[in-house]
Amino acid sequence: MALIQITEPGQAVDPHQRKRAAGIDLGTTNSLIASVREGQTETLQDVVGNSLLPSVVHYGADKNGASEITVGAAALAKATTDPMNTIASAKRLLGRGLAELAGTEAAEQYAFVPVQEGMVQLQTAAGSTSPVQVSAEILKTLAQRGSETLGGELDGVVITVPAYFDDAQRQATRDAAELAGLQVLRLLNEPTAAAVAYGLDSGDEGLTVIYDLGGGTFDVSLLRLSRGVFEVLATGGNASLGGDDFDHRLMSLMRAKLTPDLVLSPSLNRRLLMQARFCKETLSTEATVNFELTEGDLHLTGSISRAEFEDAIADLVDETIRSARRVMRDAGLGEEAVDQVVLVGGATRVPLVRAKVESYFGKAPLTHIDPDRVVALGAAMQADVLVGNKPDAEMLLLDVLPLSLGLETMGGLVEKLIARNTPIPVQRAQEFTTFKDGQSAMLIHVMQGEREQVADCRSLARFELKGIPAMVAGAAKIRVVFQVDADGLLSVSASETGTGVTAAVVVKPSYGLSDQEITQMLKSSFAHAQEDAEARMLLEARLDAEQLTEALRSALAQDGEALLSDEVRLGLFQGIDQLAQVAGGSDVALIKAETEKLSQASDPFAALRMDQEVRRALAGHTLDDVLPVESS
Amino acid sequence: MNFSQNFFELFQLTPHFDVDEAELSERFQRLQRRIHPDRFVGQGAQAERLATQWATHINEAFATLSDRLRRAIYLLSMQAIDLEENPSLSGEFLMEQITLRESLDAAEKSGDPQVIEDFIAEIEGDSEQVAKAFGELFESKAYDEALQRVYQLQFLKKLMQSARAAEDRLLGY
Repeated sequence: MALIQITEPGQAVDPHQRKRAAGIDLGTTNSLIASVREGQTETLQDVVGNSLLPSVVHYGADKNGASEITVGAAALAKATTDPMNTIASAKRLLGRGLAELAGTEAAEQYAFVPVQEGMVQLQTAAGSTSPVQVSAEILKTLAQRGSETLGGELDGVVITVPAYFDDAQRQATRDAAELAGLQVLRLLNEPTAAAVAYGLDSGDEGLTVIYDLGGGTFDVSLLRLSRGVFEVLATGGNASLGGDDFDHRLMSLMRAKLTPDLVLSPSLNRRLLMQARFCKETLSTEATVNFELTEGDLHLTGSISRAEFEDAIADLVDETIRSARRVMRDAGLGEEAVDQVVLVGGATRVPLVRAKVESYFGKAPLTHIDPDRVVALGAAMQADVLVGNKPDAEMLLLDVLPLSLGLETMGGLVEKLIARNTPIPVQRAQEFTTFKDGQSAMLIHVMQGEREQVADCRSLARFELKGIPAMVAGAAKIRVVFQVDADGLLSVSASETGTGVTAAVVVKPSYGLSDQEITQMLKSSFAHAQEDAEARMLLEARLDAEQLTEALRSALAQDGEALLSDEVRLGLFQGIDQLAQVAGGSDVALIKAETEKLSQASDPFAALRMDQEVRRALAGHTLDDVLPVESS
Repeated sequence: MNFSQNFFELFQLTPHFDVDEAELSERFQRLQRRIHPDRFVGQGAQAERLATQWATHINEAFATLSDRLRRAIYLLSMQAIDLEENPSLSGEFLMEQITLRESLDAAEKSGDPQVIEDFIAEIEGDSEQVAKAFGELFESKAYDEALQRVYQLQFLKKLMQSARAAEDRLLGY
């Protein structure tokens, strides 16, 4: 609850004040953590020198039935022997419901808990778990690596998400971070992160296309770089298309070659999938690859050529090029305007992908930063800036909303309130009315997607606005407001404005977790035993209080006399003293209440300073700049 | 928060229909550099909320001034001229629209994306002409006639959206 701290350009950060910040690429197949240390951005390694952490979590039970959770390579090793309890590619399940996943690979692979609504749940030997919890385990492991390498708990992280992630998926990622006890500075789109890594690396200006084909998701973004500003012009892709799909296509091919009729056991199936992954990687450099599969008396061998593989995946690659074409069209630009094309994600090592990208854009794509690491590196650079280690950094990311947002209207149609590729943060409002006399409630159904029919879009949330005063049909004015913040997260509120009677509600996506669920999960997790949680809450409350008083003191010193009356100023100083006294005690509720009180009391002052900041932004223009010559 | 300035004042530009897009974009970035929520991360809910409100306002102002039609409507609203819901338009213009609709239908039926592309280019050309006419009428304070051009631009924009949607269907997006 701090007041605005405005750092003047050129002001250096005291080296002892340097904060521990990291960028985390929470990937479908692998995850990484990176940080800026002594001016160098690097991925952080585990004790045996690996940067990549397989995004795999194994849920087991020991002899006494207590659950045992392993993460990463150790979990991956159990994938063939214990496939049902080894959760891989959980990112593909984030923010997804049971119905949406019917018929997918994941549905065949895991035991889903039959739930009526909400996010999918997985049944494991250690009880049921959710994709959010699986992701939290991966984040915890990475954060631990971070704090061990950087010498203390992390002050903040930037977590990357596919640009094409919808609101439910973003919210689920945020929830996972909260569950892992991480302070999220920002959710950053993966292609934007890659652009940061390349842009800051080369200092190039102009139009850059980021083609990002990861394990499970595909994104393509067009950005304009100029003097440290990364402006996303358009973005597109497919949140469920990636290198994993290549593996599955290859696996089908291999299966057909081996013994088409043979029914494979789950463990043999999983091994075949791992063989497929190996074959895919080998085919990036070799023309053919041999493979074999043995179990008991069974001994099978076969070979695959690159041409066969390319034939099997050609339509998937074409699909990505179609998305790229659409992004260019959305931006109103031709392929020839693009200055550079950057490849991101392990699946871009496939030669067919490189060839098709090169042929579409007419220029050789850049790959000189390791496509597996580039996203984490860019996220680390952003984290370093956001946490405050570089107060004079010129860098600014201006991102867009990836998918249109709207409301269900009469006849099962979607009315769009905010179009895709609108710069964020953004707020839009629309007025609706009642269609029946005396109607006292209205159902608000929030949708995301590009299609016209409700059935073809994603349902994000439903809520009811109640207490509309009795009026004739069409007389009520229901104002629905959509606000998307800088993380790309949506909140919606509705109110009846005609009579001054208002009722508003802020929604969370239907596939998200409620605050109570998160609190419950935090309490039951090992890292936050009951006492631990209470001590932590006190610490956090004190920190908030301290942050506010410190910032307010410095703001008063800077601008207090210029912007405030003596009376108001004195009041704020008294508020600071009062909060400082309370913060010395251990009454969490009281500290929070006093912090909130002072925060509210200082709100007008903070707003005045923000207004002043806006005025200063354009100061320094010459008079000619400010007043263009009158046109005749 | 003081959002009482109009969008031109916010960017320190004089209110004209012709705006220097590069200059507008430059000033937009200059403002966002100072006020974007990224500059206030970790400084508490209050700072982030205020920065988000300002950044939202600046985005809205930029979106309004950088779009031809929205800018035209905004300029008229500054003259206290608001759009009517069901304006009366000249019979000639309406006939033209019907013809254009028909050629869009034909273009979609042709099944050739290039035919729709050509149609879109034609509409874009028409829109530019109408916009130019709006600019001249507005500067000479012929607001009623300028308003007619806005209605025409609205028609053309809807037609453009239909053409894009037809293209989407054709390309299977």
